[in-house]
Amino acid sequence: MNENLTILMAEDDDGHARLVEERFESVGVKNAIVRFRDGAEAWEYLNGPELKNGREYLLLLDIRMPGLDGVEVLRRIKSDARLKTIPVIMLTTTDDPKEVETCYALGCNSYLTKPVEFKKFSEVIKRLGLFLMVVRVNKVK
Amino acid sequence: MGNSTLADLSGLKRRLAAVFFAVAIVLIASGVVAHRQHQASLRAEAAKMLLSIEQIKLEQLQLWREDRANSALSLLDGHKIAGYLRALTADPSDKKAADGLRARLRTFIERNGYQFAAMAGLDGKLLFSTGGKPEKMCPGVTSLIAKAKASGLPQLGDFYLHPGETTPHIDIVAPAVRAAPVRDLYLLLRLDPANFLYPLLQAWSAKGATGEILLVGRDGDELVFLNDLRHVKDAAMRLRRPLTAEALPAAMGLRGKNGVVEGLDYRGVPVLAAVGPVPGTNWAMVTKLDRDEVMKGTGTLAVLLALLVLSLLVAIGSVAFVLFRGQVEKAEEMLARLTDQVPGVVYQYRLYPDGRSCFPYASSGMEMIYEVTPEEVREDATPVFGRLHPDDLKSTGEAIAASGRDLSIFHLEFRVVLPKQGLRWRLCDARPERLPDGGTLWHGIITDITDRKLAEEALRKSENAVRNKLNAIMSPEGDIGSIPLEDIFDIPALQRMMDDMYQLTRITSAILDINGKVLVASGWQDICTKFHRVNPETCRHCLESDTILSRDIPPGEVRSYFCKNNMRDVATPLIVGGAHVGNFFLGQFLYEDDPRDIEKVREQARRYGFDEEEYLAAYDRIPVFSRRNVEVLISFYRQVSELISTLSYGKIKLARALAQSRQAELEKENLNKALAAKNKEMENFLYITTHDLRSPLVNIQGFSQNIQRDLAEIRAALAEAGLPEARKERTQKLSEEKVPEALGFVLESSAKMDMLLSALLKVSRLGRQELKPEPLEMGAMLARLVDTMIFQVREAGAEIKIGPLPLCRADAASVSQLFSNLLDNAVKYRDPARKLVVEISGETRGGRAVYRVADNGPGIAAADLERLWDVFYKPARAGKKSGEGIGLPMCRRIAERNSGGIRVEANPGGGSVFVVELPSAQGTEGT
Repeated sequence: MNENLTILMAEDDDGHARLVEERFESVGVKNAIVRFRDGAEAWEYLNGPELKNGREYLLLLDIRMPGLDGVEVLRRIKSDARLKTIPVIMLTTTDDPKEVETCYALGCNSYLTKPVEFKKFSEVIKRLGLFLMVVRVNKVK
Repeated sequence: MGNSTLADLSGLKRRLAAVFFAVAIVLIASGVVAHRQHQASLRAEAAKMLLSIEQIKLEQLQLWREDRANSALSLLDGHKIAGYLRALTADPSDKKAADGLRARLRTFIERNGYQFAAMAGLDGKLLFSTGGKPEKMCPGVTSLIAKAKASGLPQLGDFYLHPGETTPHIDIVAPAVRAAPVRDLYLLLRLDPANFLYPLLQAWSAKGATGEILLVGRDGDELVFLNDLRHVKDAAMRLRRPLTAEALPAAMGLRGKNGVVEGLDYRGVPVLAAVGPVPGTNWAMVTKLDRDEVMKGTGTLAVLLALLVLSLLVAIGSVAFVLFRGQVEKAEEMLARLTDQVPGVVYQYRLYPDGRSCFPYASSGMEMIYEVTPEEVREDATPVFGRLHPDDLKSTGEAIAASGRDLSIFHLEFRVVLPKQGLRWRLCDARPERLPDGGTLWHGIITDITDRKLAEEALRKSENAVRNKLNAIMSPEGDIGSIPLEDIFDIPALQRMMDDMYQLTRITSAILDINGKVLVASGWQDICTKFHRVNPETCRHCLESDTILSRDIPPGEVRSYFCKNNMRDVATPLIVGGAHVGNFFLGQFLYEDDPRDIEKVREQARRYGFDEEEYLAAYDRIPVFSRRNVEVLISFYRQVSELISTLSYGKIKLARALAQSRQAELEKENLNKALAAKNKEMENFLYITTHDLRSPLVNIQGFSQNIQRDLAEIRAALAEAGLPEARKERTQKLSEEKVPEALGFVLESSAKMDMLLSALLKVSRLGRQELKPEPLEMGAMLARLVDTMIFQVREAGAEIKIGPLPLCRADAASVSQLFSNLLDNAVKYRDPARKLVVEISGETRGGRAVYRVADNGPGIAAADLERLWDVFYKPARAGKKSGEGIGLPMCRRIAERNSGGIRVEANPGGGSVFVVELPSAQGTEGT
């Protein structure tokens, strides 16, 4: 397991946030997850002292958030020299192709439809090659 | 001469005036100085002469005195006298000696002109005398004797006047020393100065008619004139003046003055005099000339000098004036040249307090602006006011008064009626200035703005016409009679036609609207344009003739009448859309058989102030036609007019119809736009709503699954836990039946809701999708579609026939979706009782590609036909097979978004036919 990795998640809905955490946990990802309640909070962290050089991060971004939304945060990250290497996965409520297109155009690495079924989620994770990319997986269910 | 001439003029005037005055002062001063110098030189000359005369006279006087003394001494020196005296001294009774002496003395007296001679002793007692009566000697004789004794020389006495005598005399005493050395004997001689001295004094050898020499002496406080005077008789020793007389030259001489003086002589006349004492006496001598004589000629000279100065001044003044005048003329010439370039007249207008007014200055443009010369109005502005249009006279007067009162800029547009140019528009701008007399002077410019006014008028008319036409067109219910004729007719075209006709026929023709306004006119006669239409009254006649006399002529008829100015007019009405909108006229002529009353014409000329001969000439030029020709012509014109009327009316009606149709089109476009906007709004709303609804659903579904997963663990734990049997049974029932069942419902419902939301999203997404219309090969597209559905089709045992299909122009992806939905439905809802056959055919009709998808399914119930296109509507017959409930609504949406439509019909052989219309690939839009 890549313990040097911190998962950051911007998600305004508490239930969704919990579900995402559990789904990650259920597929064996035990890394710390830092959660932000909206885009502004996430952006503040990314520009604050807590973001350490040399650590690895993965950012999960909900598209629709009040105030600063996920699309805007993504746009800012991708135009920031220091932050643009952080991999970003967009969290979508629907699989609306238009939204997905927009996110890819802005440079997101992948997208994840909000997790519903455990089986489906793990399949999705696998399909995306997420585990291979960021973590060492002990066990695939 | 430069451009600065005008500005320099007043400077030049000042300079010239200054030079003139300087020269004048110098000239006058020189004249005065010359005059003074001349006087001074005359005076000096006279003084010199007077002094020399005085000198001579003094010398003569001295010589005379010495001569008198010497003659007395010479007498006494004679041998005989000495002998006689010695004899008599020795013997006073020596008669012979006495006789001898007497004879000698007598001879002496007579020879020398003495009055009297005597011998006296020291005491003055006469010892012996001869000549004249023995008179008393003068009172001073004893002192004279004493002086003679002391000096041993003869002594001359003073002037002396005996009381009762008229002339004075002078005594001379000489000591007879040598003749009578023994005794003191003195010879006394008396002389009459009138004989001796006066002639000497009176003799004036130099020039000068008024010259006079006076001897004066002192007697107490008085001055006494010693000799006879030219101007006062017997003045010697009688005429006296106070010694203190200031201006009297004689008094000055006695007071010690020696030289030339000016003063007033004994007569009170101004004189120039040389005065001085006479040596050896108490006298003073005055040698004088009247000042007038001295200065004689200076007066004339002064006058001549003055004349000279004056004439010089006049000459210089004239030169200056000519010079100035020349500049002024140049300036005026330049002003004239400048003002000639001004489009209009540059002027000064002066209003006197009594109401009179004039144009003190006006440039040559006056003749163009008012047709009067600047000279005609230089003293009186009345001719100009005669040119003003009667309707503008009052307002012009008021504007002048207001400008004069407030000294505000005068700015006015007004009309003038001119003999040559006729009615013209003028614009006047002027600045007023108050004059010392209380009057006002305006400096201004008047320009011709007729062209501008006409252009404005034309523009206004054309605007009105356009507006009226628009109004007429836009209000289909409007009365055609209320539209002005000029808005119905093509005026320029009519004008061209009538001009051509005039060239052929030479008959004046015109179209006037119902108010008498001339719209088209051709070939007007001079008598109308130059006379009748110019005079306000005859012009009114014209108007009345054109309206009143031509009123109420029935359509198709022709009326012939004399106009109020005694000419033939023929009129026929113009009817447009059943309304009388105007009249067609032939006029300004006479029939061959019409009476020609020259006297009446002359009277007309006199009454309205026309030039009689010119008016008559114009009358003679009125054309004459035969009744027959005129009738033929008006008949032709009437037909043409009716044709034009009908065409015009038809044009208006057509325009209205077009306008109405265009209006309907516009309304339809607007409605479509509104509809599209509403649709878009709806789709946006749908998208956001479904999106937001999906968010809580994620939680419901997600956590339900959590519970479902955790339930297995709970069940295992419960099985291991040692619970009482009854309890165990109960919990087992809960965990294995009740809770899974509840969870099943929750999950199933949420799945259903998820599906609904997805469907809604699809619909809304459709509205937001960008369409790319292109020509579509529909046959190929449908073949591909059927290929993708081949599994379903085979499973259903169905047959799909695709006939020849026309091309359409639409978005490929969405149209593919449309037909996919239709085929999907046909397969899904087929009649299980028979083999499904779907026939797809198509044709191009009216620029549209029409496709028919016919099935032999169960058909659609009449009740469902209307609601079939509603979202989520599910016909009862669909039963369990019901899908998302958005297939047909999406089909309709797709068809509409591709500018087409979809409808359903019953298939006569059972089943349904979905008819899809799309724009044809060949057809252009709107055909």
